[in-house]
Amino acid sequence: MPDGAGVASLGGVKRLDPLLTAIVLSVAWAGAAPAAWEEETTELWQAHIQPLFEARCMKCHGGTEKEAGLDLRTVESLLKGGESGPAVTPGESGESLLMTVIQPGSDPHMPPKGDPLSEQEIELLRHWIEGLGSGGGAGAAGSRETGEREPSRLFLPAGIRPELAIDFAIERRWVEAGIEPSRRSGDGAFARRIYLDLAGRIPALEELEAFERQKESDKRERLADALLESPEFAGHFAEIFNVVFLGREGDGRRDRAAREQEGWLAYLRRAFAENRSWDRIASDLIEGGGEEDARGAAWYLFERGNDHEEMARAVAPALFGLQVHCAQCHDHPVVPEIEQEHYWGLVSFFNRSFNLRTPEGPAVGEWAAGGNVQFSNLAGDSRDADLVFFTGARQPEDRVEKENDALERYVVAPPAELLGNQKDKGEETQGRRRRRGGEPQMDAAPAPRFSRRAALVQLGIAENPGFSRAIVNRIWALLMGRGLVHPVDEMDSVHPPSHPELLEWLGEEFSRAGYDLRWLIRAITASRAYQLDSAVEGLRPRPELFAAGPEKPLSAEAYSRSLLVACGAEPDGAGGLTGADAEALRTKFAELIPEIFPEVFSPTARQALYFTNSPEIDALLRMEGERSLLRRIMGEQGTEARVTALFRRILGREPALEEIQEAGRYLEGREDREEEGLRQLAWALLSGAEFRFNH
Amino acid sequence: MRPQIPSRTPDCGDPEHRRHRRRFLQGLAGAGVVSTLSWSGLFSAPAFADQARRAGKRCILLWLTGGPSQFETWDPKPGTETGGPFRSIPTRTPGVHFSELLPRCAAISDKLAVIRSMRTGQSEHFQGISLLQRGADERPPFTRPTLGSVIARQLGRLDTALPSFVLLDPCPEGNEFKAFKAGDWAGWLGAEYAPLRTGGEFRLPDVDRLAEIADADHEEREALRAFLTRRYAGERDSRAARAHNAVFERARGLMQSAHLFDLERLPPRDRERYGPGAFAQHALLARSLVEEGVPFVMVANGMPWDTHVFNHEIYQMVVPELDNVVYQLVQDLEERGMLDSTLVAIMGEFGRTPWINVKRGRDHYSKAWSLALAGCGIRPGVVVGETDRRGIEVVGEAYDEKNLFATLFTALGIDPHTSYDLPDLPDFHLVEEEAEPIREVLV
Amino acid sequence: MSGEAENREREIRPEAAGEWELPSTVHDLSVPAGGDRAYAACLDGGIYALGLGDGSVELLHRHGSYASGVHLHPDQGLLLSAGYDGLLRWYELPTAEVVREVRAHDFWSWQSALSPDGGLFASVTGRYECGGYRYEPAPEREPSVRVYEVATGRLRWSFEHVPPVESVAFSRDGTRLAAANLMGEVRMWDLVSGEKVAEWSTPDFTGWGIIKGHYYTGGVFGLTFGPGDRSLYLTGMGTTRDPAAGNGRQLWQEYALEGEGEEAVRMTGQADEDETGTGLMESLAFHPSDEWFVMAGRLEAGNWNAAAFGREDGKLRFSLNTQSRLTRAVFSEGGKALFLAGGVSQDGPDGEGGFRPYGRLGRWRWEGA
Repeated sequence: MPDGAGVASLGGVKRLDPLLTAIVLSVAWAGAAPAAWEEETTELWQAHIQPLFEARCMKCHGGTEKEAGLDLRTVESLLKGGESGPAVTPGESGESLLMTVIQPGSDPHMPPKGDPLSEQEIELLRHWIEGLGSGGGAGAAGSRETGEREPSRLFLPAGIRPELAIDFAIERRWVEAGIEPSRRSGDGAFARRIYLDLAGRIPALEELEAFERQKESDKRERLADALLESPEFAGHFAEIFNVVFLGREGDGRRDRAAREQEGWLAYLRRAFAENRSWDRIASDLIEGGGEEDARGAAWYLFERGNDHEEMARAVAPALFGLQVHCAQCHDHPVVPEIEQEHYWGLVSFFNRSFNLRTPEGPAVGEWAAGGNVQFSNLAGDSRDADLVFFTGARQPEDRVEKENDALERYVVAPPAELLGNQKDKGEETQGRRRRRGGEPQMDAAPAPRFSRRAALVQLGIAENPGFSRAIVNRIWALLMGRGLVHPVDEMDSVHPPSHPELLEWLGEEFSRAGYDLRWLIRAITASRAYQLDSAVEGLRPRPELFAAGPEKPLSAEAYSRSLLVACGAEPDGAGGLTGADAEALRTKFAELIPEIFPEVFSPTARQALYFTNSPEIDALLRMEGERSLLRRIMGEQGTEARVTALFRRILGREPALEEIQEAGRYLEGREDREEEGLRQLAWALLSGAEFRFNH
Repeated sequence: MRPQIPSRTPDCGDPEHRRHRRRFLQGLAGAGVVSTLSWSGLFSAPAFADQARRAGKRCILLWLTGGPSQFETWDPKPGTETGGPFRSIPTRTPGVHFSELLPRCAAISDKLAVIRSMRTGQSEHFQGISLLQRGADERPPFTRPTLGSVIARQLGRLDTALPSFVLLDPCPEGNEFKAFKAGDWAGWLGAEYAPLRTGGEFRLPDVDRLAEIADADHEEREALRAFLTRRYAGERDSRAARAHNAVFERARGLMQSAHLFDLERLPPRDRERYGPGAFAQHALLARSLVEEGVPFVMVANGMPWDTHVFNHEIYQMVVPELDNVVYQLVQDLEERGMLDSTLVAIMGEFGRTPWINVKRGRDHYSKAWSLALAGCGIRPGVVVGETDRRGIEVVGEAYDEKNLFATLFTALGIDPHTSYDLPDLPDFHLVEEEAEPIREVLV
Repeated sequence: MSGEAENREREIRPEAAGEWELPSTVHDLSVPAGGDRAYAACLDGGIYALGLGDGSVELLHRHGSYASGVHLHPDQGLLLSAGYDGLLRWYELPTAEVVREVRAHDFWSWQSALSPDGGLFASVTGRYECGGYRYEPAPEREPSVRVYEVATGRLRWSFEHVPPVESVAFSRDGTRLAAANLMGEVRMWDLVSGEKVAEWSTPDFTGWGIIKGHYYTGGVFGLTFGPGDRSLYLTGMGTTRDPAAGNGRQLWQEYALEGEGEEAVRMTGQADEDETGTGLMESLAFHPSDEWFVMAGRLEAGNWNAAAFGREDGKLRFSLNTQSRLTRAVFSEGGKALFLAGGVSQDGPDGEGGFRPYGRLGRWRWEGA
């Protein structure tokens, strides 16, 4: 039995390397455990006070407006107060202005509109303000910043294997929560999981059997290594990051053919195939891939058709795990650290850029002047946008107006006649919309001596630890079904990480490891949490505990490729599948299942109808040829052997007794057309949830 | 004093309530959570519902997303500072005036009941839509089912392939309504009571069974598929897998009833009578679906009533369309002898401000607004409640969403104070706090 | 547009020189020579005489719905008005007694215009009614454009258009009339023969709602003929996917009227995207020198809601933000002052239960003139 319980129960024991365990268990947590009062106050803030303020007060006292100078988004800003002084006095609810104005019948009364706060809400506020005082003095300062715990740090021996660090941080939380994790997954389940995660398809039966036969204790790690080296890994990750970076094709402007022809998809495949470091990929995207080996990367900005705000809104979640669109017209209404100047700062890094074409293909050049924008808030106050990043880092710059542009300002100069007259000649002027097409032709993309985009690479990538954490979190979510910060593109103070110390540690180690994605993927896939079985006893534990194997809906790509493999298409070793039009099926599936990281699985009747009635799915089950699913199944002798073979080929496991019985019942009335019966049995397996998920 | 601190993670197995609450508050809830708690005997008083089912009761909700202005519809204030440019006209009901944009409704005012004294507590779209669709404030992590889901559960028949809740909305967008549409309509009733969404671009392909597959094979392979998935879901306590099964179940029903959703099937003369606009055409489709036996049909069209900009310029067009739709629908139901068993509700999530903003618009206003009802259980020709001269405050008793839901349920013969029988969940009722129905509009 | 005219023009620096409040938003404004008073047509239906010296506001008359137009006759003895009640009115001055009333339309008079010699009074109407699945406007039920003789009140012309027709203008020589609608369709007639002499359409001022409602909003809200009647200028709000958000570009376009055949009408200029924000623009006015023209309206996002552009190159010369909606820009005779009329939000009732005055009029001294 390849998937036996014996192996699974050994799993935990095998990993207890005595020496390493001793080291791991002896490390200390930085920062003493927070005092009970602090914990409760913090928890109250996160669970009740902040949501209450958000619902009832922040419209006027938040990022959008700060009436009377009061901002209720953070404990710190509450303590600072507004024009009438501090809103709260820690420990002194009776002295606190906030408590006065929310009392029934007070004048002025807050909130001024809608129902007054309920008695319970007022009591909660009172209790929380009292709690704020009990620690007193500086001890509480750290928690006041955002109402969160000061992030603990994970101090571990240098050179420790990262999967053990992960295990340590994750297991500690299991102990705290008093729960038992699931058992370790069997070999078959593990193989299916990691093939889907890294190769974007299920293993063919032959691959599965080969893995199950192996005896080496490190065979799981070796399988991960082998898959990471395969062309299928590069292709699979290219598809994922195509969607992460540019969104699904469709809506007219996002054109699959263009992404293929202009070298974008080839760039992604190449980058993942050669394991290009993540900081390199990120700078290729921002700088536009002037280097020959980064050709195609320019499409990342180019596809946005000179829309600099769209560039800013896209870069923030993809590279920094932040959503900024809420800060376009005012400071972020809820997240205090994202200010309006960050939005316009990020726009400014891009707004000297323009699309052009060179003999090598699309490129995004940059002027040495212009792009000095003003932004105004809702009150109508305007200010100049600085080159400022979310970290607060500012790039000083002389504000050169485009009239003062000059050839000396360039490393690669634009045609002289375009200087200072950029817009008229450089872009479409008829029809107000900025579409692609009609870009100027130049021999090479103009590059200024001072490049704003290069400055963004410096501030946002080289000098920003959040850059590393953002990709760690994204890869974690991709493999574990949920980020350490959830959702992955809102890594702000309102969404604290479930394991802050682990995120911090992995972020630092990942950058120390040279932003090596394979290092990170190896670490996570080798961890105990990744390898847990997805079956649970009773209720499923809270997902942020990572105490059961993740259940992830397959992406359109993985789903369609897995179907083909199950039905008899064979991996050709170069990333493709023989005997099938994989691209046609992928296109159809991408339309039906556009999302890659759904926060919540939301299937549609449309998908079910397609699976049930479309000729495409039916045709897969009627594939001809020696290697087709039905031909192979019919090659087995006897109903039970045939049913078993179907389960093995489609689900990668043996059927349970009751499944054999149910399948047998279906086939019973169909002796006259057993092949058709088996075909419909195959359909039932392929359209079921077990095939739909990576689990 | 130490207050009662609400438990942070009740035993619902869903620790994500904070996030949902947050997304809810931000009006961003794209979460298509499909809850799957459902079992027979969900209601503790099934006999009552059976009675209603037997009577073949139905409900059509003309959902005026965005918040229709009471001034340009049911509660005009011409000649006042807040009245806007339109006049009012007398109706068939002595002493009652509607906006001049509703001439046909004025002619059948003796068949309508108008409530002019709605006062509710949410004036943002997402929260307002949730409030008037669910009939109660949110109480995370629990998700209360929408009106349509409850009625589908109460009036739907198990022995039919027809969906019991159809949402016709040809406009795929609608800002906060788009977010609401992507969310969880059925709440704790479970995915089978979520609406089937169709209309406009949402016409469903792949509804015909493949010729290659015999009927019996088709049915039984689906049963096998569902069995295997249930087994998988049980081992993993997987909500996702249960949702997966629910959509296949949905697909099965759709295959049997797909032809009913085709606008082209409707009689051309009826189509002309209702008017050419997408909303009118789908209102006609709603009539045809209730004739076929669908218990709840909701018709919307994006968020056209949210007129912060160009209030009058837009209302000169959308109100007359509504006027004709209500007229045709009520007349048709009456002609077919269905008006007594079909409740028609015409409402949005709130009204609009008396005062005109600088963008030629009216903004959100939940303090004093109007809606109209007709048909099953509704006393015809009444106007309930009033607002002051300029429509700023309700004069006398005001009604909220709980009173409204109690009214709608009572009109359909459903006891509004029935409690849900939900193990491990708090004691929830169809309408909370024993809120009274609005007696004046009930027969 | 020629690019060589730069810097030849005089610099302009308008300075605020007076601000007045009216009970409700001003929809139209007429300023007689002499500059001591102004006539305003307002949202509350009132036709007001405003004393610019003492700030006195005198209600002359009231329409049964919003008042939309007010025009002082060149001989100064006659005032004309129009309203959403579909009525046109004649008043004798100084008594302001109504001497004639004409029911011009069954629906609103969206906009009205008096010919330069005071001989003709034109008004445009039309209700937007659903005419198709996507809410295309239905054809007109009554003539959308009507032209009356001022002296007799007699209907001189009825012209067909597609409702709603939102703007109307006489040519400077008074021989032609242009009117434009929600869909950006412009029609022009010869007032001697009554023949339609031009018809064209621009998609740039209307938006089909994708985000909120599937219908059309926007349209051409202001029209004015350029120097020598060689061109027609249009203003309104640029197209947007979400017109109900009021966030289309601040847009004007210039159409040359002199060509032949296919070239008969062609766009020769428009507001520069780099110089504009978003919001509905409602009014265009040429400075008497024809050196500049002013566009005014409401700001959604950006820096200004009134701006002067050089006629030669269409470039922005000066801009200001009145923090209000502007419906009308009018130059005083001689061009020494610019009047900007409109209003602010009505807002909820004040402490005493009344509404604040929300009509606004501002005067700007025009330097460089």
